[in-house]
Amino acid sequence: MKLLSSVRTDDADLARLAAELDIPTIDGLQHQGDVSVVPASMAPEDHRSPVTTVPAAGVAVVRGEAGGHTHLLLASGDVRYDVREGAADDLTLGSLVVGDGAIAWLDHPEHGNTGIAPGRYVLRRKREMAPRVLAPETVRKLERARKQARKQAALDQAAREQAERERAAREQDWTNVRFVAD
Amino acid sequence: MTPEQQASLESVREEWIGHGLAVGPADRDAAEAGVKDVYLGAGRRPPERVIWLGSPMAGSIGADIRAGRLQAVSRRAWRTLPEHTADALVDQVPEDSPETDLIMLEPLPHGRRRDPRLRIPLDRLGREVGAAIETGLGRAVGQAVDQAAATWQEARRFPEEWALPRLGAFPRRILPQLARLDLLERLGAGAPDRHGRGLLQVARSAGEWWPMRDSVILTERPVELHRDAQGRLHHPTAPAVRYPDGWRLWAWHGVAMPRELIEEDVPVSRVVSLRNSEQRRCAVERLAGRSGWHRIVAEAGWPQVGREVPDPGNPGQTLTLWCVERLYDDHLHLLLMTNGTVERDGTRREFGELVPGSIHDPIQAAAWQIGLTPAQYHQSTRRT
Repeated sequence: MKLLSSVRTDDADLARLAAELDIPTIDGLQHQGDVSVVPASMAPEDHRSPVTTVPAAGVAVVRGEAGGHTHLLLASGDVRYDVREGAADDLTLGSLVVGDGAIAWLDHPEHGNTGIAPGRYVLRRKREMAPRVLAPETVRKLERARKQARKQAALDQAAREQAERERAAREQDWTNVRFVAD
Repeated sequence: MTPEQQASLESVREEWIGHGLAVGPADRDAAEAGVKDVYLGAGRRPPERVIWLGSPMAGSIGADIRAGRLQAVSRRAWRTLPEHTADALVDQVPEDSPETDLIMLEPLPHGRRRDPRLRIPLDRLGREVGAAIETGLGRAVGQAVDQAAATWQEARRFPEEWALPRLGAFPRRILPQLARLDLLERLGAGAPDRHGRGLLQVARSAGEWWPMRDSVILTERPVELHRDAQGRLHHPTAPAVRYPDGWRLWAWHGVAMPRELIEEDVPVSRVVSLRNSEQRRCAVERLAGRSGWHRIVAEAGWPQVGREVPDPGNPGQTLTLWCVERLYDDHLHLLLMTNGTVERDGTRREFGELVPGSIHDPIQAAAWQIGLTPAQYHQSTRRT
């Protein structure tokens, strides 16, 4: 896959390169792997007007750790991005403004490129629940409860079968009755 | 602390973590000289017999044999060793004149007044050294050795031998204390006595050891040790640690696993019904990394939550939600989604991610992941 970050040179025109690579430019909600570009209208409370201009080398929005890859923000024209420090839920990465006539791109070795049209955005990162780590006593308690449930189910099944057999036996008895003819 | 003191703390920490996780043959002469110092420094006669064994498991069995408990060594313990190792072990460790106790090791001299400002860095050093060695090797080895010990049910067959003291329990690692002792010496806050010097030398040149009244069992270090990026014992396809006598352990990101779960292709149905919740979780994650979550949810028989829905902005792909309470013992749902981008090999990568169990709709789950409402998530235009 050809990436903007791999074909660009120091003085290249990123917009022309992006057109050559056929990278779509989108102004709506879009996702690149675990990073989402959310229009500010959907999350107005998280948008802070950014002041830092994105440098020619780009900004790492999410740095690749432990085998992951970096999501790199590249820009052509007036694009500003500020990292959001201390967001309440660690969901929001930062605020992005793409000025009129400018384009920004997210660049990732596995997901390829995606273009961001002029507008105001919030960049977010996907979250996931972590399973709770159970204490050994809790695990034992759960095991016991499960065993009990299995046992109860088996007992109920046995009781049902017994009732069924008894009913069948009663019917059998009834069919065996012969009325004495006068 | 001054910068120089800080620097020596760092180097002591690295050195002792290195000793705890060292691989390769032991320096037998240095270790034996250290043992002599340990005994003499404690006012004891040095041991008559020095026995070298190939792994902590062999050392544990050897110590039990020295204690007169040969019959009480469980079959479970013997089976972890290759046959020739087990035979050699019985020949190598003499059974006569059983011993009844391990000698006491005291790395840090008591009662000496120490600079109170050193207390916090010393504590921190011990904690960090201990944690790194435990996660990298010690916990898995200790559990494996202690779990193979005979239970009281087994012991009913040999009550007389069972009544003898058990010396083969995994020895409490004193490396954190030794690191502190080393740091104190480097800071000029007190040189170790002969006993302490001996302990430092043994720890620098050999693996676990069992010091007894008349004999000592020393063991080799691993020949192979694999850890993940976070320093946890881990190997995806082979033993994570291997000792020169053939004793091996398998682990997945720090969780000890049975051999077949790492080396063989175990059916999904067996993996999802493993009793040990930690192993179950690891085995399922390992299978998911290999053959994908879709195969697992198809074969595991977990209930599906909600309907399969098209992924907005990701044409042709769908989102599904599955109840994985039986996997994690927690009220969680698993959201399955597929990458928008096709990989080089023509497949698409799929992701399984956990969301709260209160969510019953795949779109709502995907929206929850980035803090949006389902209606907003429906407006997604592109997923790459």
